[in-house]
Amino acid sequence: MPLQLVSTGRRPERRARFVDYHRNGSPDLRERLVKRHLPLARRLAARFARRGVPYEDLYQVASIGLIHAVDRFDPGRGIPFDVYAAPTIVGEIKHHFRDRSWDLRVPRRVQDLHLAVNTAVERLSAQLGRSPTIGELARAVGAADEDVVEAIDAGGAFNTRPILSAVPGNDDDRRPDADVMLAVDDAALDGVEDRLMIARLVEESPPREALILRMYFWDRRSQAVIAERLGISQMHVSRLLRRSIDRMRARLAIDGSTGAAQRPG
Amino acid sequence: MTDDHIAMQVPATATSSPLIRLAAAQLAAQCGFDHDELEDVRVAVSEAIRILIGAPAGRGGDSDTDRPRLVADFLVGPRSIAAAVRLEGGAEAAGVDDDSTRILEATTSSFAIDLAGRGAPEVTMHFTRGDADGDVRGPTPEHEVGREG
Repeated sequence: MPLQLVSTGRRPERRARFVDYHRNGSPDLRERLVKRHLPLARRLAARFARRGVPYEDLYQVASIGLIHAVDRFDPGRGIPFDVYAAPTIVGEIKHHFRDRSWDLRVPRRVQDLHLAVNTAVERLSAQLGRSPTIGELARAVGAADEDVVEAIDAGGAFNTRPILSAVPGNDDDRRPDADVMLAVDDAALDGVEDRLMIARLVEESPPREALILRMYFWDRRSQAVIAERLGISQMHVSRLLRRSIDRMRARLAIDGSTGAAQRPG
Repeated sequence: MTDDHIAMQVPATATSSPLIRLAAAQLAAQCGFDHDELEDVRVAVSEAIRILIGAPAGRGGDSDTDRPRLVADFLVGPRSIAAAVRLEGGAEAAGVDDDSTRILEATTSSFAIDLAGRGAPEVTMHFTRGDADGDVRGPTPEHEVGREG
């Protein structure tokens, strides 16, 4: 079924925002434009799901495509923004698929099992509310325990382009500036403004997740750089970040419902 | 029940060292560690290897294959694994960097880095399986660093 695009570019007030942004380059306005169109990135990412790459990774890549589109869109050409942005976002996603490749030494059966195990980890973690055992994973994918371990271990041989380095003006080893990535960060930590609160939540996270959160948010390293440093797949880093952020959001919701008096600082 | 002792020795090269990591992961699986705990074991052992030979396990190439060697000893108990990885053959360890300590803190129950002792440079780690009453992993005051850098 073709994706239905909701045209917003013809609406004069929205086009005026693009005109305004391209005139003065306001980071705030850019952030608002990106956030407004994140549902488009979400829909396009969903079209490429279940092809061996986690949806959250695809959404992140699509969000970067959206940022590119916001930056490059020329409101004077008279076409709606969504019509312009969709091919840019899809192109970014396709690049992402193309740039992901396995180390040639990893046999195909291990590659396939690695992806199957990853999917099973996500599904079983959600079902069980805890990390699955190797036996549970083995039963889920129909493989022997030792093959599952081998497949997990193969994750380090799955090469990926550093996703977040795709933003212009940033080198391959560092995450983009906070302003540039604000839309993505905000999508992940929507409504979270109190950094002291975040710091407390990070400290309360399981040790490895806290480590990755610090590397990502404080050290501003890309997921790919973190993955390489830890010798795990970027997919796994992405999953841990997502899980951590979901947990933090849940904690915020609980704290919010029990009163703001618990907020430090 | 007595602990099982498993020892292995591989050339101290980037392409051979992943065998130690894979062995550690298999032992963790046999010990009943869950997926997250097994990943912790892999990350910690990779870091130990990085401290000793300077290359992340599984990456990079080999320049020389038959002099220094990595020796790994695993003591596998019913709910825990003690691992010691050392660099033998007179080679100098690559050393710790800013991330090493926090990575090992995050992924082991306890660890020690001894790069300046009389013996071979060595990283020892202890991993404990979480249980139904709560995860007992995490940093402990037992950390020791023999020499930084």
